[in-house]
Amino acid sequence: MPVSDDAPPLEDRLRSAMDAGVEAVEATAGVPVADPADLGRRRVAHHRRRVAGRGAAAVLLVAVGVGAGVVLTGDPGGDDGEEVAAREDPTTTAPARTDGVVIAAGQELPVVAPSLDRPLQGSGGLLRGETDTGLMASLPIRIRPLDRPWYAPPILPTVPLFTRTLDDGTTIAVAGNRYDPAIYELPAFWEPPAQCFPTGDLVVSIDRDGTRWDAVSNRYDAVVAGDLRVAAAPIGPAEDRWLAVVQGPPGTATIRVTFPGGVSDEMALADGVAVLTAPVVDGVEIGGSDPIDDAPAAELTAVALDAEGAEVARYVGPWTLVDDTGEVDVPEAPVRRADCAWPTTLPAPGPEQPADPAAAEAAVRAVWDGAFGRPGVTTDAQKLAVVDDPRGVAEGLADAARFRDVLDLTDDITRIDGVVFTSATEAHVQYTIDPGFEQGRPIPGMFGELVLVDGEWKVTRLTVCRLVILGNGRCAPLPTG
Amino acid sequence: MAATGPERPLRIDRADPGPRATVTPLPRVREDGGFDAFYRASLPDLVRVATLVVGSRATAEDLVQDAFVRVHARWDGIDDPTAYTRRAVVNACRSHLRRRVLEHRHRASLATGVAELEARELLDALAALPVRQRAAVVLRFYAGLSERDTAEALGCAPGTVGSLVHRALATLRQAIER
Repeated sequence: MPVSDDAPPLEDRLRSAMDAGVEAVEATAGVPVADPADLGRRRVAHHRRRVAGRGAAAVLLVAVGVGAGVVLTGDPGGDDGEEVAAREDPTTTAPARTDGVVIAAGQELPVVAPSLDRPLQGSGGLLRGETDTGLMASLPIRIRPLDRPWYAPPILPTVPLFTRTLDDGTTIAVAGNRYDPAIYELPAFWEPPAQCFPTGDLVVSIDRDGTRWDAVSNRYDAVVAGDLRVAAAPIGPAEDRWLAVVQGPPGTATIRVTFPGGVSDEMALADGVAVLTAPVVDGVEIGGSDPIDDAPAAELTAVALDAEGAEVARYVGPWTLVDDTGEVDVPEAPVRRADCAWPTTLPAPGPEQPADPAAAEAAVRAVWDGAFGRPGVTTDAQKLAVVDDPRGVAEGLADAARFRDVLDLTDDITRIDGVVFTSATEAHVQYTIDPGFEQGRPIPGMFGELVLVDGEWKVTRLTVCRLVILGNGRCAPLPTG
Repeated sequence: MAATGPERPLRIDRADPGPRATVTPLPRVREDGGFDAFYRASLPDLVRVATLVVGSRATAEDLVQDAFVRVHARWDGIDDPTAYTRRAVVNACRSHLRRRVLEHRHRASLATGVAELEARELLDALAALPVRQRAAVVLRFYAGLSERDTAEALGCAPGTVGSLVHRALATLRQAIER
């Protein structure tokens, strides 16, 4: 927009714009609530809003006591209704242990879809081998004190994995879940190596001296050889005790962590996870836990040992979260795995192609453009008509329209950049989202799938529901059974 | 250690914008009202600042509340709760926006309900700025902080604030004059 010479200074116009933006937000969301109790309720409502839309998986857990353990059953499908097969569910049933660890048995992890923001919030911890996939791969650890009336913890559906009891009476209960893979919008043709993406949450609840703290970290189905997943932070009202959540590579039997000051703890893996704790030594500068302190933090050492006590992996480094933006000083650049890089091209064509590939591609493009290439023109009903299984999609479109927070399905254009047929009945498209606002940066490299149903190309339900997720909505879950 | 940028920081000599009408200046020293009183007094403005930085009101509320949790844990040892909490919030916003894809997906939400075209363009362009530039602009021109206080909140030198703001304004000017 051309600006006249007598226009107010940019700074003033910017101030006015920011005032207008805040006023617009508060016109719909209200003035930020400064009452502690009210804020707590708002926070619960916020999380409920996000979780409830994800369907029964979040809440339909039925506990049935079986022997010493607990069996929990829930919706085995993702909330997009897609069948979600856990690659390696932690369902260990171990014999009685003598190290204070009691392993829950027979549980099935509930499937949840992490909200767009929740996995990104981290207040400390470290990741070894962190990826730069441009996705939500980074929740080292978050500490959740539950001793403040105004604090409302996130609602995370989980099932218990194991409980560790320390000599001083402290109990550490570990629970887990698994993510609905749809949230990652992985192209259907790409199977990323393990450890590229967190596959669930680990919720660690520490009860000590009548105070409970929750720590939330990522869970991975597998850790690659030679690597460790380590999340650590001080916990407690005075941050007087370390907590580390560690997952080891194949062959790991035991994890040993030496915290700053030389205190250490060791634990045999339970369900692939070890939770280590030790007191913070007086006088040891822990660093990093201070939310305003970017200084390099104290180092800890985590070692994975096999059954014979031989070392299979080691991490030595700071416990603070490293920053990968390059914008701030960081003690150490994150290690990046090239094989986790997001695909940038479509797969190779399959051996079987449509009888008339050109006509098939034209049909695919017409279906796609008709549904997603004409913002403001195509109705939701028209979009639903081209979905192979539209159950729950209408709710998702309405959900996304309500939030209008990330992707606006009524304004943003999706433009096909390429089409590949992996079979005569399966098409993969690569597309770009053009945000429907001025100066909006296009989001390229999106992938979607279409299938041939009764002679007509249909967009898969998962493809549409991924778009809905981008719009901060959720498709309604498919009925189970 | 990573440098703040390849170019030499530019210092901008500009009069302080002064406090904004929408932001109530908070005392720089502790008062006896305790944590809850401080929380009540400072939360709305911090949520507004965080909203402008992350582009989502709900996320801003979460981030600010998380920051308060950490501030509370250290409450007795904090001399300047306002500066401390402000920096905690800015750090939380930056942590939240580390993932670039999510960062650009979260743009533009603030502009949705704004009527004036230029304001929408400015908010969109603001949302597209790198996080530190965006935070610097919000703290300087929305929260009305001085260069020194902005630097304190960002954890950088005052001269770096000048550089960040200079680059941000250049980008914003280019965006609206395009």
